[in-house]
Amino acid sequence: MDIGIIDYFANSGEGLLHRASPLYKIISTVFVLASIVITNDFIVLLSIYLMLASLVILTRLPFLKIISIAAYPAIFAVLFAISSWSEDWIIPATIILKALCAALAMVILIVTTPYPSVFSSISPFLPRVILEGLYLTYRSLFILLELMGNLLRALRIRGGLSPRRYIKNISNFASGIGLLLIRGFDLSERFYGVMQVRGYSGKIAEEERKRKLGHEDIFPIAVGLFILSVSIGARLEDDFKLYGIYLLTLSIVFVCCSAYYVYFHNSTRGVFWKR
Amino acid sequence: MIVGMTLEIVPIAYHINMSVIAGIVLGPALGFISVFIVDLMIAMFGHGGFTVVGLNTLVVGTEAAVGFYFFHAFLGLLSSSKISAGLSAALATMLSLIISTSLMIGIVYLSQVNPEKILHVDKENFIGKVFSLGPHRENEKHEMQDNKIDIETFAKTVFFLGMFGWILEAVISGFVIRYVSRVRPDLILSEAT
Repeated sequence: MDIGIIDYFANSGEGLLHRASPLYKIISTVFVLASIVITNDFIVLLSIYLMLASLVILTRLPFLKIISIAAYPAIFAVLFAISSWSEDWIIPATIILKALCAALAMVILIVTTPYPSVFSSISPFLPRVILEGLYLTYRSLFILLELMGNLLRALRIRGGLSPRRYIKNISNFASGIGLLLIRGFDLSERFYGVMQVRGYSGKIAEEERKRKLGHEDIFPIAVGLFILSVSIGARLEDDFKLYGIYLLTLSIVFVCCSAYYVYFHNSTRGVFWKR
Repeated sequence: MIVGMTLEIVPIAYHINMSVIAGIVLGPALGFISVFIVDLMIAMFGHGGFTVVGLNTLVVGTEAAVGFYFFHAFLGLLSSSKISAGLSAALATMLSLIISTSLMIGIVYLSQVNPEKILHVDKENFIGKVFSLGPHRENEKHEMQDNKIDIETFAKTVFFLGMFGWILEAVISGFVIRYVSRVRPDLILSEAT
């Protein structure tokens, strides 16, 4: 879980989705998640995955990195897939694909939208304590990650993590975690004191400004609605399955067009994030 | 918890949760809230399922809450021992993880119960058609609802793989709490928790 890179992608990206409003990207993600929940058709799910992959290409961020970040839930889905095995590969594959699609939809949202913007957009649906917790966790996370990195480096340099000394290694590692825990507490107490001095009265979350639907918001909403309508269609109409191959072809074309647009039509070749 | 989750043990793709430590330090109520925040954040990073954030919170939150009570129960029993805090935390973690894994298997088992039979979903209307779990097509062979998860195989797999994780997490939690109890005992034995 490379949190630093994800945050960097969200804040520095210049793709099509980065410019869209967080609210409409969240709505689009909800549409995609709903469509993944209601469909059990392998072809439809594969098409959704390919369409999401094409969105990843359009973000102009490193494609394989994002796909690999979103592949983590597949490890757990494999457990369910093994338990559902019944001489037919379609059902286990559908289970894994559902996990992959949902994770990819969320990762696309989070690599194109800074965390605080996501929190602000969902603030009406969350209690204040959770919202404040999300903001403060986000704020302290990078400090703690850096502390953890330094701590592990120090442990290695001083021989605290040596080969074959497993119990000693675990003990040293756990002491490091304990130290981090105490440092985290001290940090939060100091931060709370600073906030109180500056007039903190139990509210730090800033409301997201209401935004009208702009032209850059139309694309994510249109993709979300298209995916949702395909899923509902596949669910309601028995004959829809006959057209599955066309849907799959369409999504492959979508991937190819996105790749052409980003890697060939545009000279940046997907390395915008390195600047 | 999030920092702990970033430290993956590569050969078995396992990461420590530290939810029992969160439960011990924060108490059951705040522990549960912190678990929800962590689950929500890691789901956004693609590290967990977003549609199961609630269930994840229930399972991992139970771990934190139960861990707190087990820890204090063991601490009372082992109060004479010098290593009581560390040992209590290790035992509490082990038991909490067994309980949370069993709860997870129970949830998976319950998820196979067809809600249509309980809720009497009207398949004739639009909403009923979209969200009903029963197959609509006579010739549909690949509908997932017809397929049941083999709960026995699932439980065996999860318990077998989980065992390594439980031991590792229990040992690490024990050492962490032992360290904290020596340096800042007020954090784990305060009246507030």
